[in-house]
Amino acid sequence: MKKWKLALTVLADLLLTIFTIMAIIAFAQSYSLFPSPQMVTVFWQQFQQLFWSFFSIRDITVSLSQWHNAPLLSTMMEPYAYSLIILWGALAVSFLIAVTGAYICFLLPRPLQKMVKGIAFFLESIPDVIFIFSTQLFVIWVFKKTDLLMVNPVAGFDNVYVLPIVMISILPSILLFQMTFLAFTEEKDKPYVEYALAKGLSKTAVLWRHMFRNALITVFSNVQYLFWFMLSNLLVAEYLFNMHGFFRFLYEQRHTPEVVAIGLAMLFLPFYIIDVAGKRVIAYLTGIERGVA
Amino acid sequence: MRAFRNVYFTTGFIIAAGLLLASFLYSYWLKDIIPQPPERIYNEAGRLVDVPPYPPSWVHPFGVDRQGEDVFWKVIDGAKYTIFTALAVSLLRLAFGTVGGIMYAFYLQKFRFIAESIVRAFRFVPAIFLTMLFFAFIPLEEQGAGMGVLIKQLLVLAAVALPPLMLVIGNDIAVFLQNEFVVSSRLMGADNVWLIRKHVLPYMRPRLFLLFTQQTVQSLLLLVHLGAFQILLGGVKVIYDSDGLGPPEKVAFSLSNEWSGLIGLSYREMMLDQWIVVGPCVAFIVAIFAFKLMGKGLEQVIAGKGKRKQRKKQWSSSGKPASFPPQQSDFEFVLYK
Repeated sequence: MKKWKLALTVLADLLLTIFTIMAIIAFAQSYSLFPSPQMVTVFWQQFQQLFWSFFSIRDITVSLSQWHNAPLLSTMMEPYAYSLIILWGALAVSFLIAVTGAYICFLLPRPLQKMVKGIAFFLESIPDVIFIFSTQLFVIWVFKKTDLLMVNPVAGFDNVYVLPIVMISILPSILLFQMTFLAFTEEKDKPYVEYALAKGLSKTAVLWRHMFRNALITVFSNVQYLFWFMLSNLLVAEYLFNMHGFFRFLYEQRHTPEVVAIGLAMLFLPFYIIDVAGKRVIAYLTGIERGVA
Repeated sequence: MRAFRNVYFTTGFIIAAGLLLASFLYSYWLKDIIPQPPERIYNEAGRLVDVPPYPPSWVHPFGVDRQGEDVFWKVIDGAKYTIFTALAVSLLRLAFGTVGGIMYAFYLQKFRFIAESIVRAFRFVPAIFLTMLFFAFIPLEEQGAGMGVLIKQLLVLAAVALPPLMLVIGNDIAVFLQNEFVVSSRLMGADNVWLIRKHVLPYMRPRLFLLFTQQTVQSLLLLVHLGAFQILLGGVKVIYDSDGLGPPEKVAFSLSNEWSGLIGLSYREMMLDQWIVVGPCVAFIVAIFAFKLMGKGLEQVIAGKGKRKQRKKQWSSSGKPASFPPQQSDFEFVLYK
């Protein structure tokens, strides 16, 4: 019974969100007629059109060039897979960087901790665009100095994975680092930590065995925000580096609303899965906590 | 005004205000005083050594661009447009967001489920992508038509982040409304208008200031993105530039020296003379950092940090050292408030 209810809410959530995406796109199309009442009829027409296009997904073609049309599904798959691999990879990498970073930073002496926090705060105010700009400059600079071309920064990566993953995971991991570190500092003052330390357990053991588990809850509850930030990073990176990813594809097709709607809905699926999974993990972790206590 | 006692807030405020002040000073006064960079540079022997763009030097800290203008002063000139755009967008967001949030908290709590999934759609699609969609369907001929288009664009920039903001404010208020003093006030017959005026607004005021700085940071980020995608606010002036070799090239200029325009239009300089792009990028970082500092300061003020000193004084002001064993004179009656 409970499982049924859960599945139903998840499904309803998904459908509603996809409807909203369609509504936004239809609204965007009718927006140029903004003050006039005509806008409403255009909006409604577009919305219906988008809705039905989901059922005839196999028949939609996209124009790749002036003379070349191809069915949507087959053209979409390759960039979609590429972008998703990069996203998942970046998510994993930033998780790793942030958690180990926070862990190491927590064991540092106070003044150093303060310094690291200050640097993270400053780095956070660098916009992702500018960060990616500077990666580009850095690649060129390295090439000029050492003749070592890490990657061709203009012509695009043909299914190169490592550099884009590193590039789009750095800023999110700084964000996540700050969150994790904050969670650690909040956890530090709790009585169970003091008790464990007083009992003579080492700082590392307390941190690893006890505080880390509790701090993970904070990390998981922020995972969707992280993913969102990463999407925006990827969008910029794909555009600036001519990568053949999904966002680039959507950007090129931005004048055909059906493609954009379907594309965004497809991108939303993994996002939502992460969201639900994150919530399940939190429930699991806190459940275990309750079981112990 | 309590916020100005906070170091972070004051520093951020001074940086932002300084940028704006310099910008206005430049366009009304300094513009006529500062000499234009030379059109050509000769060495001692009178031979031509360089023409614009010049790399950064002590005289031109951000270098000189292809049109022979000093990038530093261009950036300073553009500061007022960029910062005011960001402020205007965040003000719009906050105004609508507060009204929407209050409505949501008071009347729409039953539709929480629907509201959350609608907001999720807005949260998940990157703001710049939404903006791009909207701008893609605004016909191009209209661009450059001036104020009307600009207002439409600003509304879009405000609207793309509005639903999540409404939800944040609404949830905050909804939690606040469960406080005992609010409930008892309601039981004594207070209506919603009274609650909003006497409880919700005083509670929200410092938080709105905090949200304002955060939203300004967000709008500045959105502006950088707009620059990178070469979407211009207000419109562009297109001129045909010929270097005498090929056919005339179409070159677009931003009407003002607005930073995102500066980035977007000289993006192709990235591979040629980087400093033309680096200037506005640095400016963006400084502005965002300033507003982030202000936000951090406000956060501390709201959390009540910095009050600790006063409390310590109270504790230690009780005066004379205690004697052992304690006498009756060591104690005094205190009026408990």
